Amino acid sequence: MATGSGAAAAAADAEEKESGSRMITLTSNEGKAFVVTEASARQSATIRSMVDDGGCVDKGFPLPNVDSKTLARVIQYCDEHGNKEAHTVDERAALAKFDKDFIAELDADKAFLYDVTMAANYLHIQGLFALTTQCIADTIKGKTPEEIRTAFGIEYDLTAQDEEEIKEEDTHA
Amino acid sequence: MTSRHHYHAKRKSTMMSSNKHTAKRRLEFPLHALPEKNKKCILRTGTKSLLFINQDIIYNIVSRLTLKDAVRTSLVSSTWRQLWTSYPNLCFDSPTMLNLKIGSGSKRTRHRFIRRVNAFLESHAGIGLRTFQVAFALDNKHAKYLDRWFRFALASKATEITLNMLPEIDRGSTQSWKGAYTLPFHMFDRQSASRIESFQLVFMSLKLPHDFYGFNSLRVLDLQRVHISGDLGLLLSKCNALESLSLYRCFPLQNLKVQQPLHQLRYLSFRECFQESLEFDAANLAKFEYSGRAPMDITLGEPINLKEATITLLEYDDTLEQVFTELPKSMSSVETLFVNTHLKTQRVDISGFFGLRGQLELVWYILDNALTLRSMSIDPRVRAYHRAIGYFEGLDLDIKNGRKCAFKFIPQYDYPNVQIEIF
Repeated sequence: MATGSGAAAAAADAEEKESGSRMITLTSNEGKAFVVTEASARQSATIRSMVDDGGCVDKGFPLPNVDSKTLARVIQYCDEHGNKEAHTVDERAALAKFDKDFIAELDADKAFLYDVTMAANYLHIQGLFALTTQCIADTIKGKTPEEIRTAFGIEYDLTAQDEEEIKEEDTHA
Repeated sequence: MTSRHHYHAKRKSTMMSSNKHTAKRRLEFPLHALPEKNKKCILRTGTKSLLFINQDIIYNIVSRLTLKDAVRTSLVSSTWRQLWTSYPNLCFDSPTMLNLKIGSGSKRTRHRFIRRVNAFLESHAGIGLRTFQVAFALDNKHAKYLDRWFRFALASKATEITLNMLPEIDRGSTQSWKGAYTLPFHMFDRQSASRIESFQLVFMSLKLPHDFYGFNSLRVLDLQRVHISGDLGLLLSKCNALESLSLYRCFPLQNLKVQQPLHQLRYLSFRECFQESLEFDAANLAKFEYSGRAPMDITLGEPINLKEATITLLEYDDTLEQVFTELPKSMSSVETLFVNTHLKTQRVDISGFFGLRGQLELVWYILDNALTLRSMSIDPRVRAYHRAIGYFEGLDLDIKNGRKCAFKFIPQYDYPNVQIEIF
């Protein structure tokens, strides 16, 4: 990872020559550039399709909806899943452990968890999206509507008519 | 009533406090700057950061909840209100619908269950369903409702359907199919039949039509205590994606013959169906389970990867006469099974080994002919079927004899390549 798009491009070129694999630059909405391997970037279906369509690989991909902090964390996930093999039982176990630690860390900072969830949704990173949404779902499990509102800071806005309907459903369910 | 009052009082107090937060929040983050669809899904996490999550994400989160939790979210806010109506995994059983462990005991609870499921399905959007499951003892008297639910499942494009009508009490006793629900098989049209991936039916009656399109995508078929009329073999020959087939106490299935090869079939289980012959062409079968009367003719094609076979023989009599009349037949069936599979089985489990001559010869036969066999366990106890057989005088003696016989006539040193375990 390098800062500044010029340095990033240079670093990408150098690495490309060394390893023979393409490097891809992702730019956060704050203009910070992140250089990742193509394998890592391909974890994102959005970027994958852009690369396959012969998109602007050299120029890099600007991501106006993702900030630097979030992008760094997302890349951490993609590096782990894109660059490492998962063929043997041990490799898969290592990856599962990574996921577990990764989400435990995010779970401690809910706001950041939601940022990562949205970035995963925006970038179509299936594994990461499943991981974060499951974590949020686990938070909701067994909670009353009120507790959910508190946990998510949602405003109570149901009308009297809604309430009547819900009461109706309540007697059924 | 009191709990409701209490609830409303609590609700009011949160409304007030949340208004305070809202005022503060508006200063921090102007709502009008957000896209319309995201407005109501604002998520606030402490004072640190604001976040809005779009409807698709919330939907994804709700779909990961249980049905009960999902429905509860309709009380969260107006945006969450309708979310559960596209909840993809519907599972209707006593704990979910009635808060009861067993709910099908009385007519009153049965009707309450029906009423609630009906109310649910009326509110549900009826799209994008994945799982549709009913586990509740209803019968042909309730066919009107069950038909409607089944039609809903098909119309909502459910890919996994489970209908379990087995009474929750007296599950062990023998049920009669008289009065059991008959599945309206004619409701399948070409599309809905080719969409379904997993189908489980428990305790009902099935009338198979002759001119069925076949389940093109069906991977798992599990029929338990199903009375089947019509040609099951014909139906199965049109399920070319089938990976797992399991039949338990299905009747009547005298001769089951599947004409077309089932290349995807990995797992095949026949338990207590009491058929006379079984003919499959399943070259990739990996696991085979059979339990039933001893004499039967099994053909499985040539499954070169069959690693695990569990064969449990039920209902034999230990009178000498019976053993000698049954023996040749049972040997021939075993021969068919093993010869056809080139004896590539690696593990054999035998239970209910009382030391009958037929059993002993069967064990010798397997040990002598199964060249790839690595382990064999011999258990004189009747393992899984203890309840079905029950206790009878002399069982302890049989177990003792079986163990003695196994130790005496199946010595480990004769079979150095096979690990023999005697329980």
